[in-house]
Amino acid sequence: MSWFLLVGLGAVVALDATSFGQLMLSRPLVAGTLAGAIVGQPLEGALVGATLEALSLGIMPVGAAKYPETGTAAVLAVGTLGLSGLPPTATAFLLTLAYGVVWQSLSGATVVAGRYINEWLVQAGRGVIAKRMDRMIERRHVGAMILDLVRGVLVTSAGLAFGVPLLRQALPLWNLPAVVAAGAVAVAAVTVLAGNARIFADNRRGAMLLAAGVLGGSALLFLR
Amino acid sequence: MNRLPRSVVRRTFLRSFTIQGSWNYRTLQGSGFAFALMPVLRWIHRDDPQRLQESVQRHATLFNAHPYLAGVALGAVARMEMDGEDPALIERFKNALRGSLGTLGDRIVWAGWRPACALLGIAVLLITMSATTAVLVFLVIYNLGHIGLRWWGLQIGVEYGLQVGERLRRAPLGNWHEGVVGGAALLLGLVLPLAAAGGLTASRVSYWVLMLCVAGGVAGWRLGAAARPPVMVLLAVVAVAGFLLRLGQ
Repeated sequence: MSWFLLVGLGAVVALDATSFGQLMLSRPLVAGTLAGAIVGQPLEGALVGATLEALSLGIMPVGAAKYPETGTAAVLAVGTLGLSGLPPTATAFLLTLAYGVVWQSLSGATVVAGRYINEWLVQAGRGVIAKRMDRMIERRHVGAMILDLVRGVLVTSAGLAFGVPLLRQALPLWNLPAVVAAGAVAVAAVTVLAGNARIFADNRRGAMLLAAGVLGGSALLFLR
Repeated sequence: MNRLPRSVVRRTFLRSFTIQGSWNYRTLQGSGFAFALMPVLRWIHRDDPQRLQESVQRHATLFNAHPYLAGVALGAVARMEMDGEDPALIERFKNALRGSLGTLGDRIVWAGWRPACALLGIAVLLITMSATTAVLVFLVIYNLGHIGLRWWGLQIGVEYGLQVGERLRRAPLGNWHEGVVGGAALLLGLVLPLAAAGGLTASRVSYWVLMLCVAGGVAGWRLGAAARPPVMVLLAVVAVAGFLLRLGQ
């Protein structure tokens, strides 16, 4: 049952990313949490999603840019962790994260392929004004969205089918202390997050606010 | 001046959520634009099927804008069609407007509102460790801005038509963006130490990891977006190293 729900979520998330809504259900933080809720690990799902969110914060879907698809990757990464039945340790987090990052790029390539299919779909038979041009455009537009939904199903199914057995096999073979895994995730997230300072803190006021935030975050750590 | 019925404007608004549904490398959002404008065109040309088909054909050509601000163009074009403007003028107007709407939307939404809300969601998660609260805060606040922007854009488009560019220039979007970016800087600063302390894996990290995080933070600040590819390589190297050590034993 969880498997089907995850595939359904992957389809919705794929559709939300570009084709329909863009309500940001497709952001890794949201998609990861929802996937986590399906497999009974909402907090772990949210943490994997938040890490993928941190790693992709600066990616912008500007114009015709090609970019990784982070939403479906978050669903299948968290789904892989949950369906594998393995404990959500820092090591499992790292391997799941690495798997999600790889799938972001593969899934992004299917988005590009879908856009070429759309090109063929919307252009076919456009030479003359059809008697019901309005109906034809509507059918093809809705058809393109259905194709995107199917793409989400296929990407999520493939990611889960490959990922679950892979993680089960791989995790016992991983041979570094858990602190290395946790450290790698922390260093990666902080480095990429700090890269966004160029966008938000490129003047004196921004730098002051950033510094105030760092002080606030550090104070929170001391108070815990 | 005739007015568009509110039900027609509402249907166009709802359809604008699918403007990128058939996004492609030839017409970009073109088909989506025609799809969203269809209720307006059907209402205007309700007594002339031939003109309806011709106008649909005209609007299914190349168009691209930020999806949240495409409503500005949709509303303005709807108004111009209502006023019976020359199709060549409408086409020139669309061409002139699309670049500005793309640039403006990319700046205030993709480089401002969205990352600011995402940082807020991450901050709430790392402070409260409540996934539900974090996701609800992110979705509700983000979509208040998102849906509000879509609705406002369509409304000013319908109201101002050809003069919508002037109305956009008077809008306080620049000040709003400055505030959002300032908030994002504060939230980014807040999240950095929490992430460095192992918050994202719900585990404690040692002092040498904290030192590496500080070094990584400085490197990230210097490199900007260029920091991402080497970090992805670093993650892959650590992931693979764990298996290679096993093989070496």
